[in-house]
Amino acid sequence: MVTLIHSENRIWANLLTVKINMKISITWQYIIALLVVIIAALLCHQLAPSLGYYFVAFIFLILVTILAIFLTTGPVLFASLLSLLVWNFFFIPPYHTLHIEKTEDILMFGMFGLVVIMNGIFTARVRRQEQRASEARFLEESDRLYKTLFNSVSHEFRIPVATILAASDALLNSSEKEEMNDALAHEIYTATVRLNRLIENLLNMSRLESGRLSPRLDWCDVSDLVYKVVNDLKEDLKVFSLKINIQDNIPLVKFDFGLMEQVLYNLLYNAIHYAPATSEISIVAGHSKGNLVIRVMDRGPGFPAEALENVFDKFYRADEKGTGGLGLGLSIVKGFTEAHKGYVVAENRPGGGAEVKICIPTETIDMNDISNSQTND
Amino acid sequence: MTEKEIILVIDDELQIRRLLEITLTASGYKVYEAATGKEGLIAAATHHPQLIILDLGLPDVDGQQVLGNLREWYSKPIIILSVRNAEEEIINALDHGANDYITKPFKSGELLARIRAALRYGENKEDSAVINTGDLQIDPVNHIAKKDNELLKLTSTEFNLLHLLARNQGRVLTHQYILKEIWGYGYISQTQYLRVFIAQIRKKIEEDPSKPKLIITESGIGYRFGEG
Repeated sequence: MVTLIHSENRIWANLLTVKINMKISITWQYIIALLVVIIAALLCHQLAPSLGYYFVAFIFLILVTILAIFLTTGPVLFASLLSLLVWNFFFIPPYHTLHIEKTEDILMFGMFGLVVIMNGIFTARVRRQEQRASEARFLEESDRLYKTLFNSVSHEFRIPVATILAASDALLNSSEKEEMNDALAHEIYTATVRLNRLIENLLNMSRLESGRLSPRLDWCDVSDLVYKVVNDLKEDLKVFSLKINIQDNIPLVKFDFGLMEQVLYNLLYNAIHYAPATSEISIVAGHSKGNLVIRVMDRGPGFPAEALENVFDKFYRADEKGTGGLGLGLSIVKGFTEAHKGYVVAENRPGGGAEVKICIPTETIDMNDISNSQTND
Repeated sequence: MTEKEIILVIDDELQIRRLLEITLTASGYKVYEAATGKEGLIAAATHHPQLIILDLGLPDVDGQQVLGNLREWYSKPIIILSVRNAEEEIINALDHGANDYITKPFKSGELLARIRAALRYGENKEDSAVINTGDLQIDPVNHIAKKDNELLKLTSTEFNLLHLLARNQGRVLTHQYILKEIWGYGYISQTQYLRVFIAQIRKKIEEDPSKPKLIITESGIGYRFGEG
């Protein structure tokens, strides 16, 4: 069954580092190596007369080591050889020739060459191993994530499909018993509603992830939103005591009605599925300091303390109760709220139960202003 | 009841067509089917249906274009079938002559209710007729509305808005359409007026303004005057 998935964010972090290394194209790496050596040579040209050319060798050595942290082996070796030649050509007397006169200089040149190249090779190798390890770790974790997801998605789809198949098959094969037919049709209906909800949520998630979701902001009546959603869920809400508290004279605010409808639907749906029958579910809506604030509260088990920061993660489910679902509801709430430039907070209530608050910055119009301006003419 | 009313279904999905055929036939309609836009246009001309159900996602011609072609000569109700989250497409179709829409997946009961409402709408269209719906009575000639035989205090804008919705009972009217009809072209994007006046009218005509049964909100699209 579905387990808690904490690792997802870490996987993305790993993927990001790997990507940064991959990102600098090989051509650019060579260009960077070339530029670093040229700039260093120009600077050292000023310093060499006072500090001596052995000092210049150390500068090159350090630079190649630093380059090895960021670049791959080819460009590092290129920088190593280039700095060796540059050092010989411009800094070891006689200048502007590759010829070396003094024996100690020849020795020094050989040693510098060896060190600079070894340095480049070893650093690059260590870094490559690190990268391989992190890639392996990433693959391992994404593999685990994939398996968990696959299990939970296939489970969630199979249950309703199995119900539909078995129930419709029974209907096809039954000749009488109207009562049974009613019951089977009811099962088919429930399974299909569940399946449809899954598909809606997956589609919404992919709308969010595609990055093409832009809310169509328009003036809306918050009461209209609340009662629309309550009406959609009225069958499920029958067994609860529902309290709705909408601030008196709440102004009109701007949001995308369709998106906010799904936000509120998901919040209320969660309350219905986690809270025990006959308990109280409250919806409180108000406007303060330029923000529309809607809170949905229940008297269910609340969020597990360790889960509060994860509840908005995709495919996360704080669930020991077997309420079903893929764990997409709250991440869609978060995504749609953030698409409105707002934020969402999950909390446990004093006295037990969960509270989710969404807060959306919005312009307002006082309803009375409009109504007065219109009735006067 | 004399002859069976004819409904034409234009949809490329075989399963949806089969389902509609079963449900509609069981409800006493005669059903013709077309799988493409071109077939649909021909079938509409041959069978003279009382109502057309048109899917917007057709393989050959764009559903909006089929709608446009139909509306050049066909004046009876057209109900659009569409997928969810396609508000703009739906609004576009409603503004170009579609009477109603229903999103897939739909409940057959709801579809049948929409069909009945649309067919009824086709029957009476007199703008000056007194409208009786539930306990509401709207008299456009004398500009008065009554609820339970008691005179409602409505401003003239409120009355016009109520009358517009009520005489299109069962039909979805888009925000833009209502704004244009009541306030004029210049107000076409001023949804705030609509929100305020709908809220005010609901307070006056609904049993429980928080559970509106007469003026029903169609998310992101418009309003529909319900069965009461």
